[in-house]
Amino acid sequence: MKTLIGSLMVVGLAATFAPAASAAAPLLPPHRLSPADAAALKAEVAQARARTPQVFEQLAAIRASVPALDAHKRGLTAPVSPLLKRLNRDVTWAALEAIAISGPGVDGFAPSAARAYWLGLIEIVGMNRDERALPVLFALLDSPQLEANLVRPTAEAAGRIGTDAAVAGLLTRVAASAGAKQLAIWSGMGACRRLKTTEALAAALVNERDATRAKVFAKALADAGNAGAWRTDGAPFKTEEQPVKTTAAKALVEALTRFDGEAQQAAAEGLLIVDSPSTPSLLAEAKAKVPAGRQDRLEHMQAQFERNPARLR
Amino acid sequence: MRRSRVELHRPNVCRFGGAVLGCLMLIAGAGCGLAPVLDTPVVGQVTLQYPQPVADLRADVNRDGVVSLTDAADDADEETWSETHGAIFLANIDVDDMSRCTYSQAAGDDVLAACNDASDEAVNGADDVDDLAVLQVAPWPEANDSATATVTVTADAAASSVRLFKKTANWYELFRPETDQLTGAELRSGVELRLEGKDVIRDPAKWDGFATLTLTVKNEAGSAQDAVKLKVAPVIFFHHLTPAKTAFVTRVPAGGYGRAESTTFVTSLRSIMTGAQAAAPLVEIGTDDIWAQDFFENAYMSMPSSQGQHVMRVKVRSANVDNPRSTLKPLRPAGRFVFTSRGPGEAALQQYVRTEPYEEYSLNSTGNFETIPPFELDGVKYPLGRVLRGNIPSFHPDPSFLLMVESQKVQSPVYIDTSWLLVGHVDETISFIKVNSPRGWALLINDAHMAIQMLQDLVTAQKGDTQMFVGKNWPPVDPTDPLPFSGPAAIAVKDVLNDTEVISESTAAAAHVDAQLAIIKQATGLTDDEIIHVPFLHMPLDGASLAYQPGMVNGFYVNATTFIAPNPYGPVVDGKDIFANYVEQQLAARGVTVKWLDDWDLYHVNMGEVHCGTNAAREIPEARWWEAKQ
Repeated sequence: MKTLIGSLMVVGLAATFAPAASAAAPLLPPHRLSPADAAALKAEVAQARARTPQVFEQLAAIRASVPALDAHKRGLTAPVSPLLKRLNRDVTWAALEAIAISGPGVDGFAPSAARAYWLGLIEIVGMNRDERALPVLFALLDSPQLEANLVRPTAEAAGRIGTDAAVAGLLTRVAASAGAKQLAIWSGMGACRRLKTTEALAAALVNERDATRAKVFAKALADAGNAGAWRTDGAPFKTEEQPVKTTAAKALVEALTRFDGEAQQAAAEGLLIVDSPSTPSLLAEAKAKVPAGRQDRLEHMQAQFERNPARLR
Repeated sequence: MRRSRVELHRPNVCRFGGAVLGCLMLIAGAGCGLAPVLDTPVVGQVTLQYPQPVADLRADVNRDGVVSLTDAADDADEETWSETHGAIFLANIDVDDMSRCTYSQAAGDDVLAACNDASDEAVNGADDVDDLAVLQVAPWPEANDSATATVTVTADAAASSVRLFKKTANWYELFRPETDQLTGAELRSGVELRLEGKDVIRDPAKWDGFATLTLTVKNEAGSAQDAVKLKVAPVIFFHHLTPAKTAFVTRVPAGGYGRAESTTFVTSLRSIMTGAQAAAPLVEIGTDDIWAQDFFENAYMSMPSSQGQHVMRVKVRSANVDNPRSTLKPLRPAGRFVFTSRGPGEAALQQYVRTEPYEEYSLNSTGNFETIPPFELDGVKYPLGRVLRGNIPSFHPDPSFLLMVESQKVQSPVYIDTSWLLVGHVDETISFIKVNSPRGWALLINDAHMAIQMLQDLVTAQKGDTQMFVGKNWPPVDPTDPLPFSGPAAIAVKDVLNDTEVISESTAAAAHVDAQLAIIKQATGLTDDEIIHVPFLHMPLDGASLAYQPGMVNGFYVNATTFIAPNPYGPVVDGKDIFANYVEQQLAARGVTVKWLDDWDLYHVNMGEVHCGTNAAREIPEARWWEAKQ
């Protein structure tokens, strides 16, 4: 997924986005946040600094270690958010301060280290699920200066917060964007385990003809309906669980019948990940409608679903 | 051997002035290949008859390591090649003369790769002689002085891919097929030739690895030909069923990142290997690149010898392009180790394209390169197993490297999807161990679902407050450079189960790994009782997945009875780490002892484990690659 979106970003957005902000500056240019939101943010940061000053020092120390982590990473992305996750939840405010108010930025960082740092901050903001972070996240999404490869994580962070405001903001922005940026927002939206965003993703998948894009939607739907996630407090809107799963499963079954290759595989795995109780009947229904040549894949899916390796007790 | 007559001349008729001279010619003719025939009734006219050419070129067609001039098995069907017969030669890419191809830090990657025993036109010492395939032009005692012979190489691609030498009284000299000839004297005594490959097969469309050598013998009586088809040995990658012969690990130099942790890791690894009576020496690679598994893959090439196999070991450099704009050193710097460690019988191989997308960089690390051990399926034998790599159409390793590996044919790759993993390596979810079973091995595979269930069982048993990762820190505390933000990693089981990111990612991982397993099962016929599930959870980062706990499958299988695995630091119940205990029991039931190695501080926090930080060249399997389906 990361590579698919990344590739699309590189191809589609190089000419679209304005040059990145100065390396020594916060990620979000100051004027991108409304005065009210900026004031509210500063107040929260001040309170957090008074409560847990050490977390601001800890973040500064983590920032200092990012170049070394980046130089020795195994893969393309240094792991910053796992380090932040063990800190006090006020790290959210330390992160938002660095993103949107002030801080040393990424001056002197290699591009990969810079991205790892901003990614880590954005990810921890999302993981801590504080709705008060939404103005910054949406300002980032609205900023032409946001690096293309940070769009998906930013949308994902907003999605993880998952409140009604998060839902509305994501839907507005996905409708207002196009091309690779839009696809990245769609991809991140999978982390928003809410019915409205899931319905939007499902509609997008059902209407999609391109297999590459369909794979993105299938993975996002799998995320939205992820059976394991729904067991945790991070998916608090429990009344929406079954509707979300059913909506996701329905679109995934449809994609399973229509696509081949990687998109088909994404749909199949998605059905296992969502593990919706509606899946057997959806598969049976689809089997009755599809041509004979496509039925074997549905039968195979039925067998797989029956012994679902991802099913939790 | 075929002795074909291309052209037949009339016997020469020598006209002399008298019969006396004719008698003298009759006597002399026996020594120079002429048999004058008195052509009566013409006085003084002598007819000379030249011997019909004989062409007999031999190679080790029956693969017993010897070229026999008397054994018909080295002659029959020599112009063909199959799993049952056919001569073999090596790509002579080691360095037997250590005064050549000396390593220079200043030298570019491609310059270093291009220098080896095959890059000059000489036989580089006695060791090099042994690396060259023997061919024998059988003696033709009747050859006349004016008889000549050529040795040509076909097809065109083969001609530029091999090099011939002729044995002389003192040594070996270059034999150029396009210009050089054998003399009548040489034909009478017979000639030893030696053949080297200049390279391995990289692209069968350019060269398929075969070379047909045709001996053409000519004299005044006509000509004769004999041809032998040979194949260059493929590069064979090690599976886990033979013990490590040499183990490798990075030792971070003084002042380098993680020096203290690296020292601790190496010391612990060495201690475990000693305790396990592992015969393999542990070679320390001095570099800041801690991922010893990732910058080279061990392999070998072999041809038949009288002792079984003549082996040339190969270190294959990973195709990680770190610096595509550099014309001198585009590749991952640590990979230059393949050049510093080459020598007699130790070759280095490099294959890459400069334009590989950055997003796919990690797939080229050789942690994304494993080998399924030997098996047979539906009547097809894979005596050396099959390569296993992460590779899907939309997310794939360097295509030229893929092609090179596929071109070896003997271990045709099996590809699975690793695109969902942040690092993208097969060794993050899969390993293999030797077991006493009809198949001879078992698959170790990650099971995140099992890990969730095991933790849920603890909660059900009112043990949800049990901590895991006890004693570990995020990030680790380096005694030489303490970081103020380091904090305990310990977390209660119930909190792990409530971590949305960990549980959602682990749920997804279970489905992704199951898809990997389906492909492996289809390719090998593996059954469920041959699979050992290894429980550990996943977490997300940047839209992809990595091990949340030290991934126990990502271990170093040093010999048949010892698997060195990363300590999972799982919840301890009744004095036992539930994850470690489970894996210990599973492997012990199959005769394998698990030795736990703490890799948290340097490897786990940087998204890798024990296997990622080690490497091994193994004992050469007994199976002969030439008997495998190709």
